[in-house]
Amino acid sequence: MVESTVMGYDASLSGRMELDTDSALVMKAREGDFGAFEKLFDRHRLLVYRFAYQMTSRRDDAEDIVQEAFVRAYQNLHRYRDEAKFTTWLLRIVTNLCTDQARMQTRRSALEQQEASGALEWMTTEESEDPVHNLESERRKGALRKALNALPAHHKAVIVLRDIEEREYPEMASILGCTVGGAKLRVLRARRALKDRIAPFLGEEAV
Amino acid sequence: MFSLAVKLAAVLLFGDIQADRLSERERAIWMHYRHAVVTLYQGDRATGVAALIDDSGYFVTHNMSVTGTTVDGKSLDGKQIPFNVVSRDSATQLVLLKTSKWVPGTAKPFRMPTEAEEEGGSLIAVLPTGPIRAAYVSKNRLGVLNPSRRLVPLTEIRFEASPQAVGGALIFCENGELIGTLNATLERPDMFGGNSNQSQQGGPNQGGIQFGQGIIQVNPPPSILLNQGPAEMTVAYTVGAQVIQHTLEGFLSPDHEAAYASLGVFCTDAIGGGALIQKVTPGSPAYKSKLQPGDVIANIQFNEITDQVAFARVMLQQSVGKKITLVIKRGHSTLYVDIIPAKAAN
Amino acid sequence: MKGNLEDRLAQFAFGEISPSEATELEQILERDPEARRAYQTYKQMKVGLKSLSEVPEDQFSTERLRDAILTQGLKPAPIKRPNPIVWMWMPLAASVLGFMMVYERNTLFRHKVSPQIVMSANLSKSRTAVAFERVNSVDHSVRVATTVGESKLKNPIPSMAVHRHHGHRVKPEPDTNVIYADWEGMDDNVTPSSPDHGPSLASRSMQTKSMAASESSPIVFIESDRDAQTGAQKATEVGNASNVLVGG
Repeated sequence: MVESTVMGYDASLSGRMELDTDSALVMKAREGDFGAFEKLFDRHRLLVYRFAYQMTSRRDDAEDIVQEAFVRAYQNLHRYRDEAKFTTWLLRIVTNLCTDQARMQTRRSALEQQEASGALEWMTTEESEDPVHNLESERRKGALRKALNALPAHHKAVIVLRDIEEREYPEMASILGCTVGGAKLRVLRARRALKDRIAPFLGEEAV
Repeated sequence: MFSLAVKLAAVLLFGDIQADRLSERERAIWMHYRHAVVTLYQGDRATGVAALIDDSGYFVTHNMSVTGTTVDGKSLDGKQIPFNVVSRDSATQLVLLKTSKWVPGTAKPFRMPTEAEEEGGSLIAVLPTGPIRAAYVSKNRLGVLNPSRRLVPLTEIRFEASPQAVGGALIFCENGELIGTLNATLERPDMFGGNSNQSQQGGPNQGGIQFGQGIIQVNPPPSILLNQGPAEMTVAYTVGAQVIQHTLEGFLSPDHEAAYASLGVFCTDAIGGGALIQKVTPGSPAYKSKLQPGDVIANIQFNEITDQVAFARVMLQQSVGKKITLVIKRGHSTLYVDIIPAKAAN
Repeated sequence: MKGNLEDRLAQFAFGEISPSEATELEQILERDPEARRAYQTYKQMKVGLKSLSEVPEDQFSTERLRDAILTQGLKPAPIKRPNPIVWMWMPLAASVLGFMMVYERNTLFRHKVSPQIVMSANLSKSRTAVAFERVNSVDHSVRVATTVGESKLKNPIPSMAVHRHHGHRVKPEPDTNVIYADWEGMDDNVTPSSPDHGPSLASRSMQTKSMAASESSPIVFIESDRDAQTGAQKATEVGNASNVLVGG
């Protein structure tokens, strides 16, 4: 039995706290307890949303993907097996969704594509005091975001999983449906692809 | 007895249910073209479908649907149609069949595919069990056929359904163009099952290393590479329109075979542009023209060769037996080599 | 610079390397300026990627999810235990399974339809077995051992086709010391290109331009062996096209 997130239970508290593990919630949801599924949703939706946002760079697209991912999860609860972590299972669903979406996309207009890949609806401000440094690192971050968005979906997905969301390799292997060695290889290949794209933007430090 | 029961069920179900999966319009299209489709049998088992390409009785089917030199077919209205195998093409996996029992005018033959398909448009895939809907995804895919390493353009299509026996299906689009026969499907990860390897091996630790609660196979078969396939969608490929067209034209030519021009080399991308020869096949035109590994093919018959993909693409356009000129870079020299492509091995 | 070294530098930059290897790589960095540049780029990438991890707040509500699921009439499919007695009536049960499996495969079993319509005790068992099938399609021995009941129901075409195809298989031409794409699945540290022709750092960015078209969609390898479920040849996608060996 895998326990992913366990809410704390303090026996000394007068009120009762939920002790439901993900697996327990899944079981309840399977039996028709939608509230249990909502709890799962509450717990894990940020995880799914973060991944979807990194893949699409658009909040509305990401939210659509979150919805679709949880709908799929709901319909397929009976197929979820306790041997895998629920979060791994979810990530697998959303990874497939995102790469499917890339596959299913028909020709988008050049303008749309540009907008999608360059979409920077927000900018986090750099903590550093140095205004020159600020500008430079903003520029680089923008370039990195553009380069990442320009990667094909299968590369982008592994970079997001590994280097942004920092999933461990065994979990990634499970998400991607390959071996740990295969996952490492994919990450290396994706990083190389990204590096090729970003190198011209990094000034003299690169070539 | 059991197989009879399944077949009965199949006949009862497939005939209607699959046609039901098509929209009104798609069903109308199917009705229009179904007389040009013949189901192929091995004994009493349906092994594939064949599509009429010429009213004199020439059909094409997929290689996996027919072994040997003859095959029996049955048209959708029950007529027995025996076929002889005329020719097989390994690049596309298409097989040319001929029957003498075809009555001209019975049906409209399928047409050659053109490149002008609409991405996202709907297609019809014909299985032995009937037609199902497929969608056209992309014609910009590139494929490498193992083991010949031939690089071909691919047409990607998808089925919005769990995987089913779609291998060898005939794909056509609504204006009657034959897109191809379904060659390959993309491997899918097991989306919902966790690592079921452990259940198969009857216990947690057989042949796998344990991480957390799951088992990862240590030595998977080499075909598990980048498993990107979707789980609720089947992604499939047919060889691209250009190559299908070339094959069909070859089939309908007096020789009844499709010939692909080949030089007899294997290339990778050359640094700085071009196709770098890694290996020359003994006895091939390249061998006879004394090309060597390390040579870079920079130009073929006035087509600039920027990389291996360009090399493969340009070679697809050349003809067997027709002399062409190559521009070769060897070390610091530039050589001009006349060469006559031979037929690619089938 | 060899691809192998670049990969190791990438791992080093991302902190995925053992201390002993780290020492070795540090020495290389000291004497190889090109390697240093690559390493620096990767380090910058690492920092940059981490900084991308902030995302704007989402506005997704539980109501929306509830709407999506409940108002579409979806219910989770219950799990039912298969009745073991069924298996005693093998032929009948098998043909019922065949009927249901066939029906399941061709009914509109999709998002918008309540799965309960097609669920039955037999079916859940067959579907589980089908899921096993899917995973183990590449491992024939395992499949045979565990899905005895299923194998009768499967469309026999794929296995026939496999045998058939073995008969037609063309012996591969290229010799084995030319390294091509098979390495990608298995070994972490295999050089992607033959030693004499490994692209240097500078030329890789040059190559990038000419390969832009092929990079954006991965190359698909079509194997001669077949997918057990679809009966078609197996296709796999390979990310980087540049070191594929192509015959012509």
